[in-house]
Amino acid sequence: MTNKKSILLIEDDLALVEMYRDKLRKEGYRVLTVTDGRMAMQRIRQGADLILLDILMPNLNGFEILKRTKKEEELKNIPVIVLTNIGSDSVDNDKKLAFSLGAADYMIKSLNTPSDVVQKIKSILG
Amino acid sequence: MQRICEYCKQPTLNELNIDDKKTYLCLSCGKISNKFIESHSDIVSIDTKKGVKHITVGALIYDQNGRILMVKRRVWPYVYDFPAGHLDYNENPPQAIKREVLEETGLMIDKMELLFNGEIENDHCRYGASIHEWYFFRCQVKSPVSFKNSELDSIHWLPLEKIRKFELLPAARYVVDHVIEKKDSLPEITHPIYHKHALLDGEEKQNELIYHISSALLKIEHSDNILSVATEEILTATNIDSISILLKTEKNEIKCQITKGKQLFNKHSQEIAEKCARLGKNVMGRSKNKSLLALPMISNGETIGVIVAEMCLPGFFIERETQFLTIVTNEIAVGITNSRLIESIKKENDLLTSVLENSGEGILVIDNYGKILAVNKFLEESLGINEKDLVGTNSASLAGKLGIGDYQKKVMLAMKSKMEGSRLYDEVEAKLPSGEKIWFGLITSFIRDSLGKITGSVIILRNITQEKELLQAKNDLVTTATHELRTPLTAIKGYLSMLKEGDAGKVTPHQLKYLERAYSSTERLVGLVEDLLSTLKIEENKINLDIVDFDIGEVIADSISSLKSKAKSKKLKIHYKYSPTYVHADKIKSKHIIENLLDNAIKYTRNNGIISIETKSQAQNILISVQDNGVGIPQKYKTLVFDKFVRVKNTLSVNAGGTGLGLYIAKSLIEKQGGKIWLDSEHQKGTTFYFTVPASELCS
Repeated sequence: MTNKKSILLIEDDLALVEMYRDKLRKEGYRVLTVTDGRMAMQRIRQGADLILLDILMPNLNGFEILKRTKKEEELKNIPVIVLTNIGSDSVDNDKKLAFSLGAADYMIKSLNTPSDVVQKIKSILG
Repeated sequence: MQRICEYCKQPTLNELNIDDKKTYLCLSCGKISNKFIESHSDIVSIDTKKGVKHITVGALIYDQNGRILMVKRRVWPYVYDFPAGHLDYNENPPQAIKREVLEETGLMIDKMELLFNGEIENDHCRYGASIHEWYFFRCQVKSPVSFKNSELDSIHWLPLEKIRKFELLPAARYVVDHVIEKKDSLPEITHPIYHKHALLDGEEKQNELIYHISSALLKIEHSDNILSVATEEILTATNIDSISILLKTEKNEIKCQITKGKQLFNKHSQEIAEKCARLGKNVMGRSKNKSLLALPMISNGETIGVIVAEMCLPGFFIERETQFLTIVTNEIAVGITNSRLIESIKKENDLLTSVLENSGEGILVIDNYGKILAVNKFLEESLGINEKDLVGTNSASLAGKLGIGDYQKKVMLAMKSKMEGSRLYDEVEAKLPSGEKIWFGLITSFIRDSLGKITGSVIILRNITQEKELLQAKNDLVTTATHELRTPLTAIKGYLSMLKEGDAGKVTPHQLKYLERAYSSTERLVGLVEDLLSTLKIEENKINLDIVDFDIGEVIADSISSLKSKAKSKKLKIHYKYSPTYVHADKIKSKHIIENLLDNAIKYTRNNGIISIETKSQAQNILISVQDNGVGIPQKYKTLVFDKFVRVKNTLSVNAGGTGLGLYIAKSLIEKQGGKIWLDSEHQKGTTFYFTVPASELCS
């Protein structure tokens, strides 16, 4: 039985959820999803090898989730990639904020293909 | 071959050294001579066990005025009457002595006290014992009775001089002549042992000692030390053989914490100590070879422990000494209680301090006049103000500095109005001394005294700036628009790329061609959205700069590697010589600017071209130049290129793509950072873009 890595995808847009899920599964990952921010911490506690975290979701402050995850002893070592459609390198500081809160990386969805995301995941998980 | 007494012929001769003459004392008959007989046979065998000790007991019988009534001497074989070391003579004068004295003199011994004992070594005794001990007692008599000897005074008090007239047995004479000073009064008996056991000379010395011990106790900081120092002091100041301090444990047991001096503390001592603790009074104890006094340490009406003073020999705690020890014990009790109190206060203090200091939120404590009583580390750091400059000042002035005066007034009012229970929850925007604006979430609760009156407030401050900003961002049109535009674009771009990659099945070359075209259009749209967003934000003056000191050389190198493949596809060479160059600007935005310029250079240079990037130090700025040998920019566009949506028409512009916003954005960012941007160009020869960034004050 191969040891499949599990990716927890926290994302509210269903079209994007399906897209990333298809891609990740094709690459051999187990995919878990959370579309409601209120369930996020619960799901995270159930364990994952990596988290893809959206920021702007209803009922969810993605940065807050990131903060909390990094504070808990059992969760703080799970790498988190902030995968969002807010923020911009040219006018905002969200990237810096994400890193300062302990994110492993910060990617703007529209500037990266699903393959780009997979590359990033591979570089982190090995 | 042995020496025997010339008088009684027993082989029990003791050699005495009196005035350097060899003298022999016979232990059987008591006669002294300076010669002995050597016998070649066992004349007498004394029926005693081998290894037995012979004790010579002499009784100097005194009355209460100190006059010697009688001197008696008797040899007591160890086995039969009282073995050496088991003399319980303070309360029970040995019956044999009592009887004999009574028979011979009619005097009844009431009390006996050890006066002197010494050891004489005898290596001639054939019965194995090598030590002979002499015990001399003073005995207090109950009822004087007339002596048989008529020369004695009828009320039978005899001064010492008269005794000498009697034919004292030699051993007694020895004692009288050599041990007892030629005075009548008892306290003058100066044999070393007796003197040693006088604990204190007089009341003056006693007070001095008490003072000394108290002072020593006052200097102690740790309660562990008190026991050690106290015992040392007592031992040094007096001649007590052993001091032990016992303390009451949580289980209410009296446990010995420390013993100093000779190791006399044993089970018996423990029992006496426990009795003392139970009764709360001094208790004396005597055992075979020691006497002890247990004194209770009382604090606040409760016994907290016991001090046990022990002496190797019995009967040594007279009233004066007991009083002295009682005073010292009380001092020690107070000392222990005080140091315990101090320690428990310190512990609580440490705990509180630890809680405050390690809090992840700012804590401010004020009294009901608004004076700042305490701040924690987090608050110091959040505000960037030192504790020294906060504590003791009025919170109104701090509030004024931060621009939250209204809030402070609200708290003061709330304290005065005697609000029932409840807390205040507020959010305020404050301006820090550094100029930074942050949002604080504040929870204020009130401190009350035992009567319920408000005596102050505790304010907890949380930095909620990020949350506020995010909330505001949510409401921000530009942000929402960006998000709403980007999301469907993400899906389109994503699925197209997945189709291209064959995720939905094998793709024919024909299909791939169409997919590529669709994909590149999507990319253009994505780029346009990005640039529009940036432009909108710049227009609304909502650029957030994060100024730090960093190495721009590194950033240039990174940008080059990000665009390497693009350059490679046109076979373009990028020249850059890295050297650490420190600037004071926004790192991420600088990267954006450099990538933009580099991207332009790549776009507007024909295949096989060369691009070079250089950095130069210029007074307070760093000058960066991006040079290409591409199509160049006509003179009239030199400044126009920095406007929105301007794209110069040239032979390559059809394939160049881009929105015409890149340079507008770059210029806005550069100027916001405190720099300038301009260009040099020659048509068809190439273009060089120059821009400046403030240099860092750090040495590179």
